[in-house]
Amino acid sequence: MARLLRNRWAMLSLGYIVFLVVIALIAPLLMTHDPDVQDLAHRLANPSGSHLLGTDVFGRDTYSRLLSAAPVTLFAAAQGLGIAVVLGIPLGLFAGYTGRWADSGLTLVASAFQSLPPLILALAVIGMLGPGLTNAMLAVGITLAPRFFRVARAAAESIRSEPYIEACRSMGVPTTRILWRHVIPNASGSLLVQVSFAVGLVISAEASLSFLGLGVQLPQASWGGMLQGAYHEASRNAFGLVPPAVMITLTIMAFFTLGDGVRDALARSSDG
Amino acid sequence: MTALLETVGLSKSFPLDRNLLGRVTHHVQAVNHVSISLDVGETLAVVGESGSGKSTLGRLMLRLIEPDAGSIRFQDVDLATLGRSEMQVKRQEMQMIFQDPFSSLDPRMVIGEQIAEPLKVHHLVKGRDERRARVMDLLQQVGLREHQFDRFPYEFSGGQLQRIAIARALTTDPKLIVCDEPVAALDMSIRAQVINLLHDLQDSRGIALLFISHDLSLVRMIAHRVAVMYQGEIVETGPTAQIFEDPQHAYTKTLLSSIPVLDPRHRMLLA
Amino acid sequence: MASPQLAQEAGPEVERPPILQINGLVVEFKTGHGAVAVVEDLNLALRSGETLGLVGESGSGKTTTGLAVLGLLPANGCVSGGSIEFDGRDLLRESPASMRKIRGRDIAMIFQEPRRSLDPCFSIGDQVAEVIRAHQDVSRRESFRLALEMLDRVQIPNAARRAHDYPHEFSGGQCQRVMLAIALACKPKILIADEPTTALDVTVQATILRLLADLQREMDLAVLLITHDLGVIAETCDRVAVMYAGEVVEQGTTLDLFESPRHPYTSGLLRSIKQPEDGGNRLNAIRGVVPAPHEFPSGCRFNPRCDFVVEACRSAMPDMVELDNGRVVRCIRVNEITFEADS
Repeated sequence: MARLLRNRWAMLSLGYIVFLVVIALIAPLLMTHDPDVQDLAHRLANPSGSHLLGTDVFGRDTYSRLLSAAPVTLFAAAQGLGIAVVLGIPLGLFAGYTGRWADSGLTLVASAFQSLPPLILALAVIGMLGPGLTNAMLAVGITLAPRFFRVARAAAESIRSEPYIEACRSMGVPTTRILWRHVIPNASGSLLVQVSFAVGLVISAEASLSFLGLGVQLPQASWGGMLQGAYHEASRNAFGLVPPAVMITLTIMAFFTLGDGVRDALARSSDG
Repeated sequence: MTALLETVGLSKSFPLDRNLLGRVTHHVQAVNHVSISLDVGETLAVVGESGSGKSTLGRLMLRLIEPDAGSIRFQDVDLATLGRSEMQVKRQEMQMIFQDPFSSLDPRMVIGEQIAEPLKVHHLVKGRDERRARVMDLLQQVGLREHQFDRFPYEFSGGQLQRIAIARALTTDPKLIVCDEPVAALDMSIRAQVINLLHDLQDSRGIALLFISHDLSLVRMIAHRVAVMYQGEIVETGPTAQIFEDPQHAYTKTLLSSIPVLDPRHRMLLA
Repeated sequence: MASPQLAQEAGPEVERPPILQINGLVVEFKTGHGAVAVVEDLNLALRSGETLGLVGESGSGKTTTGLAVLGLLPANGCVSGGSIEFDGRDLLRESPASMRKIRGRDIAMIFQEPRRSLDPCFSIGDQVAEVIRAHQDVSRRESFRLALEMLDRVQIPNAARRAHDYPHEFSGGQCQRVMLAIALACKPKILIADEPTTALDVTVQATILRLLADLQREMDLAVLLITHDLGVIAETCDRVAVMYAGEVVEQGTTLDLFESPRHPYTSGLLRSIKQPEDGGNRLNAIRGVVPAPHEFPSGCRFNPRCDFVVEACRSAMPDMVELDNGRVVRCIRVNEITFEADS
């Protein structure tokens, strides 16, 4: 923990993420305009006193839309991540610890899912269930689950051969307790690293899907959706691309950097 | 008097290679028809070099691995006849201490909780306070201080961790402790301390020790009987003095003649 | 069984000048607790044809000393004092380029885990030949031929054929022989062996130690043998230096030291691995724990564990006291204490 605190970039990223969460929570208080109100007289305006970041093609204030998109993006990330974690980690831990048939079977399934191109899988799910943020995130979660499965499996497998696990078995500790009290806490480090990276991927996926019009539905703002709108109007005013692009990039970078930091901190602590 | 632990014809092999159909093509016979016995309150040393199978034997005795053939009788009960939950209960009587004290304890759990774990798992003590008191008592018995209950393993030295491991093994009042190279990873000046502790516990509680080691000079000082293992088989067994002074088997003789002598005046190795 | 051999009594008249002289060495490591000296005030002299044993437990600084001689300290370690004289030069002041020439050609080192010291991707013949080519201007073919000679010398059976095999096809003992071949291929003057047999079975250890002794005689090598095993020291070393907590606490000929240790730590160690005198089962243990480098006690570093401690021991670090026959002891009470004679 201490090592992580000393990593400047990781701390910067963590600060940014916390800042973002706070902003997302108090977004309505910070908005200057109603994000959905259209003002057709002032379309695609550049930044000015009344519109801090200009307006989009329908005259909606970009700054306010950016703010209202923040909680949506974070919530979507949580959803996608949640599904991936719930699907991938328990099965991975079980497969890694048990080994043999369960392991082979589950790994086969995970590989199958991992071989499906993510975007196509997402399109398939959305095709079946209809567009919408939750469905999109369900799809994203499914495509990410195999990653968590693999990491959890690898962690459980390496922990399983540790002497302290053998000691537990020799004391008669039941398997469920071993998994719960010993395997999971010791695997949490590498899993946390995966979570950080996965959040970045989920945000990126959400942005892509919304860009394609399959995620968040209008008029609700999302960074991906804003990017799409700005893209269509780029010939008239390209500035609109900047705010959502910057937010997406910064946020994903922050999570990746945090993940790097956690991984480095863990690696060094295991060296002693 | 029946022995505390008795094995007959114990065998275990591990697969090295399988063919396409999954059948084992090559295997290594780690333990080959081993029959030994251990009496109550006795220290039996199993000595051998790497690949002798002594560690595997220790694990077979505790049924941490299932044997391919042979039987293990503990307190006159054939362990193979016990079901899972019965075996779990039986485990209270037979504990193990491992070679590397740094990895035989969970790095993420305070040591007090780890010592208390057998108490929880076997429902031996009711209530957190009672459990804590028992652990404190055990810490004292192994020469540690009570306030160290809430510390993590990384805060201790190797010798202290081994004491903690011993305390953990004692919680269920076992009759047998299998010690797999318990001091090999410790500093020389600490080894004697830990050995003395084991010896004192044996004196006061009548615990039998199965002492697995490659260190013959150490074994000579603490074991009542010695069994010499070579490539999975017991080649010679007998009282310690006899094995060292009058070895019969060729391998035992080779082993004994390889031990560096602590007397520079009478070197054995460099002739 | 091998017939016993008496250790050589090295009297002062047959002593040759040292080929390596370490004076007042101080090595510091940057740790989470700041800069910590893990080796302090170290003085050692190594002579050709002689084996000097460096014995100590964890944290004693023995391995660090060996690494310091060859300039192989890890990134967070540095030598902050003293000198290491070899061949008229101070190794601590040599440039990295000239140290590279010295390593392997003049001073070589072998390590504890022979398998990990060999590259799994190359055959053992190639690895020996590589070292030869690094220091001698010979063709690939010639270097391989010399490598085969070396492998033969370290008694790898069927060297010509096995030179093409890879490290994983050899046992631990054989890997250590290969390490010796690599280390001695360029006929260095000094060999530093860091726990060379610790990871090996006791029967294999015996053969490796014999091989080392043979090679030393043939090549008139000076050997610095670093180990924690007093038995190995008794069998192979002419002189021995005992290290505790970063310092040498006693030094002298092996015979003298084992027969009459003069430092409480040395005596305690020897007693703890010998059969108890009273015939009982309890071993003679040294109380207390080995201190970590950042927690070295003030004054004599052994004082918390010493049975002969007095107040003066805690206040100041004792100097080395010179006794006869080249014996030095770091204890202010050395002339007052006698230890029970061990039978």
